[in-house]
Amino acid sequence: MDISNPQKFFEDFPRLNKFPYPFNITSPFDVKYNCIAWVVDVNNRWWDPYHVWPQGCPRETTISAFVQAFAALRYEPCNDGRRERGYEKVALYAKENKPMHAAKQLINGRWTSKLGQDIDIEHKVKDLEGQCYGKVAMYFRRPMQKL
Amino acid sequence: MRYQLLQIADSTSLLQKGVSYLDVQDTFQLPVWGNYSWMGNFPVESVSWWAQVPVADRQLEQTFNKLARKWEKETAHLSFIEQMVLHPAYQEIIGLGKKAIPLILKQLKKEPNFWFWALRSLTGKDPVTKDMRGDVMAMRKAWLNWGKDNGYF
Repeated sequence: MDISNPQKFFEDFPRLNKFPYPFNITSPFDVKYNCIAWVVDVNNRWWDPYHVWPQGCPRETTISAFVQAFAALRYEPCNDGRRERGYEKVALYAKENKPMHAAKQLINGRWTSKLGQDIDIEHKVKDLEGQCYGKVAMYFRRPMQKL
Repeated sequence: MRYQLLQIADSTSLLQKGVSYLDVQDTFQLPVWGNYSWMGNFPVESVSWWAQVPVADRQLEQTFNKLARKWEKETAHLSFIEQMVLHPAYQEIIGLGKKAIPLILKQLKKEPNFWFWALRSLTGKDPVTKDMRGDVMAMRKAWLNWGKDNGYF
């Protein structure tokens, strides 16, 4: 799997532009789902306030609307992105107080992200910070679901 | 009126000669009943083999293509629709007005993307039902069907 437009990719995510690359590509470009869908393990729908969104949550792109949406998915705010046994975590990135992106923690402590319509990657949580997504504004956690 | 040539049954089609548009006053030659020794002149309006779709002029098409490429490139990593449609290139496309509708539909037919907001804004219609929300392929299909039903294809 390749990055379709490397110049734009590294412009948006300059912290990923080192060698060896600090990320792995885990799936190709796919317009059918976005980062929030990926957080809730969906890969055929676009989740955002104007498409699929938890019932009763405000349909607006604000941090408080996202806090309510994550609460509806049983996530509660937590202090940091450190791995905690028995919990799965989500990081919400924001720029100028506007939600821009969400990433999900993996069992190994690294993070997985669907980058808009583009690829999925495995990465360090701080490596997506920058001009495109801003900074991590909040972390959330919920008890890991038993299989 | 200008027509876009979408399909001609004959293998000697104008499309193969690189002609993709005909104006209403144009005539053209085609073999009659498949007999190549008997060529006939036809007025463009007499032929129903292609969809007679009025097309926007080339300059508008070039402007649209440039803006669409810019929007697609610059929003590929954005996560939420609000940020995508507020991009200046997308807003400029909406600003082109109703003339942009056939171009947007053509682009949507070529590849799925979030053209739905612009189409809704320009047409005042929304063929996307509640259960289709977020399903990009279903939303695309609904708009392409709308385009077909309204004479754009």
